[in-house]
Amino acid sequence: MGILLRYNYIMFTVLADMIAALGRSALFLGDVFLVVLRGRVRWGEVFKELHVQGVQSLGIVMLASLASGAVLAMQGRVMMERFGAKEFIAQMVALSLVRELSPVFTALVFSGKSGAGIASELATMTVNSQVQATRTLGVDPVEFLVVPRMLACLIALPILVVVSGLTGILGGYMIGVGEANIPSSFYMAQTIAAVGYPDFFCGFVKMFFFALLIGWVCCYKGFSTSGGSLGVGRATTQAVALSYILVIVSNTILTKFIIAIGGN
Amino acid sequence: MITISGVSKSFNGNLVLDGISLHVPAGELAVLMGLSGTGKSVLLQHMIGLIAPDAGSIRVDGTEVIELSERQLLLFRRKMGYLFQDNALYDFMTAGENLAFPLKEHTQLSAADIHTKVGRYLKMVDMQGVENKFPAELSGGMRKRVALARALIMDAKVLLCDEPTSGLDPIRSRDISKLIRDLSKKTGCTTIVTTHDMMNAFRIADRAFVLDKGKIVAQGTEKELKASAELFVQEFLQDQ
Ligand SMILES: Nc1ncnc2c1ncn2[C@@H]1O[C@H](COP(=O)(O)OP(=O)(O)OP(=O)(O)O)[C@@H](O)[C@H]1O
Ligand SMILES: [Mg+2]
Repeated sequence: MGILLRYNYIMFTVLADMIAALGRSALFLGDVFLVVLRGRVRWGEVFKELHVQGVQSLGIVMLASLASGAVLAMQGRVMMERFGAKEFIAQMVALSLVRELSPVFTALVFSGKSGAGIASELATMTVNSQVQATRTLGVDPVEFLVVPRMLACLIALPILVVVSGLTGILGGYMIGVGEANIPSSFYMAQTIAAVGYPDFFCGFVKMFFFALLIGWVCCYKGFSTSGGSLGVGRATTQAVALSYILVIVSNTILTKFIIAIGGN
Repeated sequence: MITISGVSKSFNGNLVLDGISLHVPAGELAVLMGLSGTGKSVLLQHMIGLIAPDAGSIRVDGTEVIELSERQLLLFRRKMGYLFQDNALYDFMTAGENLAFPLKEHTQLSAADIHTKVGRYLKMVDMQGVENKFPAELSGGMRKRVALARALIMDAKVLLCDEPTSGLDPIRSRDISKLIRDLSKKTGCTTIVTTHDMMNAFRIADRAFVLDKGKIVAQGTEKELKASAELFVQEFLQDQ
């Protein structure tokens, strides 16, 4: 009985903490929106961040996409040849990439590279009092440090997703044309014909949500750090882990939703 | 200039400040002494609106700080300088950019004027020529000086220094203390310095406050403190 009560108590405090954290992070996001709505965006800082985040993730996104496009085509070839439908490899690769793999893959890679970078930078600045110092210098730290990073996420991730889609298709092309001996012009035509407006819509909605979630989680975690350099490490790993979970879970919900509203 | 009355603050049920009252007249340099963890930094952060008290009033230069909104606080802080215990220089900016930052934000000065002013303030803290160095390339004492220059560069009327001498050797500590005294008197800004470094405290202070268990247990000049009947004050002074 005592154990049960104690267990309930722990569950209750954990739940209460979670709700409190959710409330604080919602207020934080509200602050971010207020700065944007007031038109106090520092575009110079946004472009600096964009450069950092884009460069951080570009190489690994291209490598991962090229490889997964190629693997898709290899596996696709095995499966399709069983049904005698080899000529559909191009469609399968392009559709899988645009609708699903590029947004999700890129978001995961982006969380691990740029998201971790954002969280650890902001966390370091928080524990070194640089965030507080910004306030004492009469500048809003959300405006100066957070909003540029979040906007850069929202711009960088879509660009990376497009790059990922293109390199992935290139990877598939290399296998489809080089190994499965599909004529190059046929492969290209099939790819272009396969991807329609709803597919772009599907990918676009996803990457917008992912960018918002990653930016929000990583900025908030970094900004609410305490406890020295240990805290920085903790905030960074938590930010990345939470980004992963949110991307994967929201992807499932979004996919269901997009198909339901006819984005099929 | 700075008048605090009845300020209390607790964190998670842990009472840190328990009805603090103190007054520092314009142009004076006051030192806030106390053991580690007694709430000196917390009190100093109240004065610039980084922490809101649970109760009490904080008046700085005629403004009731606790009534200010977040936006108004940002404006109010432009006339304040705050030196953080850990310097808090932006590590992604050079020393020169750190000093230029508040000027770029809040003034209409041209790039040339900003450059001149930055040079002048670096010279004032004896740090000429480090404009292009990043904080990581400077020693602890040098960073302190640069941070001090940044705190003063907006022509602060109030200067708050949190442990300016911690982590420095005795000679550097003395130099920094003296520098703060000189700058404070030269610019006429009202200054509060927190420290547990008694020797330097009395060397520079017009008046001193001793903080213990959330209360001001003694205040006055060196002589007055040494004559204090408060047991803690005697122990505190003797150990130095
Ligand atoms: N943001 C906060 N949340 C919770 N507790 C805090 C916070 N800030 C300070 N405290 C607590 O308040 C007390 C006083 O801290 P403070 O940093 O003001 O001490 P201090 O006198 O400046 O010590 P030191 O000489 O070591 O700098 C400490 O017990 C600390 O744990
Ligand atoms: Mg302190």
